[in-house]
Amino acid sequence: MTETLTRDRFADRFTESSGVLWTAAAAVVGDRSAAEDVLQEACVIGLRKLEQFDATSNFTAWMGRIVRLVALNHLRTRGRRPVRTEDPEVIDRIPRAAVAPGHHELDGELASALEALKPMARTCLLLRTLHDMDYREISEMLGIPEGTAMSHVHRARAQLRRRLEGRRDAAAGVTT
Amino acid sequence: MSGHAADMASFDRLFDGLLSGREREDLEARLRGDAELAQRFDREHELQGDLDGWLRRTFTPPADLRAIAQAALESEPEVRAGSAWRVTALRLAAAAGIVAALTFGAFWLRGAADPPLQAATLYAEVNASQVSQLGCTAHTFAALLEEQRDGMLTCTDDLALVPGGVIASEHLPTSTVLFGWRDENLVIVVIDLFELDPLPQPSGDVLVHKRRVGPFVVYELSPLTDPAVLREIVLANVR
Repeated sequence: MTETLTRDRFADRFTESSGVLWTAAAAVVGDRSAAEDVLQEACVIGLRKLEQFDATSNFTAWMGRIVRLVALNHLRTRGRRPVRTEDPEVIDRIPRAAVAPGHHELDGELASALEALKPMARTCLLLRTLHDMDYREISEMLGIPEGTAMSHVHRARAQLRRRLEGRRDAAAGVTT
Repeated sequence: MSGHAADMASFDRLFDGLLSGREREDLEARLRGDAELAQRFDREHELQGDLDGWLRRTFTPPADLRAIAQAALESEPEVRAGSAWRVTALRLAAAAGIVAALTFGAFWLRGAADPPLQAATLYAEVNASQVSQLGCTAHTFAALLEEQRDGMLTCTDDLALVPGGVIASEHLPTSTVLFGWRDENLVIVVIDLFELDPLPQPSGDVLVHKRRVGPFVVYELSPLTDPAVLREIVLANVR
């Protein structure tokens, strides 16, 4: 038999998980303020779907899946037009969300490398790096095998290190 | 795996805190005996540290996200259990002693449940997107499907749906909505996680066909009596 959450308890647990959920949103939409919009919308959807949630299961994983789906749809909405399957750019364009650039010198180069990752890989990387989530938790939230989550993280880190290394070598005048 | 790739994999696992004590000792012993490897390790370690620092600075969550949950609670007052108007409605229904009214009251008491989406509403929304008929093959449809669902879903080569695309539906905020035409009939495919089943209801001339595919629920909405594409959508790893 499933247990349901009260609305107030939902709000408490949402707030407790909000940092992780914000990261999951930001990893997809790549924009701080858009990530908050996604979180707001996902929170309302979570409230509406509350009866479908078993309170004994993992709340963060459940909300994380909602956040991620809302974020992916947010990207499509932002395009403001239907995506057509015959469009040769479509497969490449959708996963390349604009990743939030900050104000650091490295941002342009690294943001570009981060942007080139698929949203799933970015999400795995950020959840692991920023929140120290273990691979079982990431796997549960994203609905992928633990090994897949791990390989996303390791591959993404290696790619970003190469980009950073290349930039530093170029700045130092190193030729290969 | 080449020696270099194996070394890099060991570095990745060490940076990720995944090496066992024994594996870590073995790696440290190798680093002590191999100056070139140790230099490479130092380089990778520094790069990883800088990278992690950049990610943490760039993606620091806002300090206070508390307001989001509160705003959501306030934006959904109509589903708040025990709200005055709902209680009043129930009291009136009970006073009237009308069974139908009690049924109506019970409906309101369900609280957070969404009203069911009428298939005709979604059908009209997709039609209004005014997408002209364009060429679409099973290959491009499969690629789109795989992209939209992180490579977990695809479709078989037998797909007989032309042409198509994807839209973000305001009615289905967590669903993927794909569409195409079969014999000049608009066919809409709605995909969501089974746990977030949007439960579209048949309405007007629009019929609803449903199938579960792994963790997903897949709907086909069209005037067609038999589903056109539902059986062609499969888990990518069992294709």
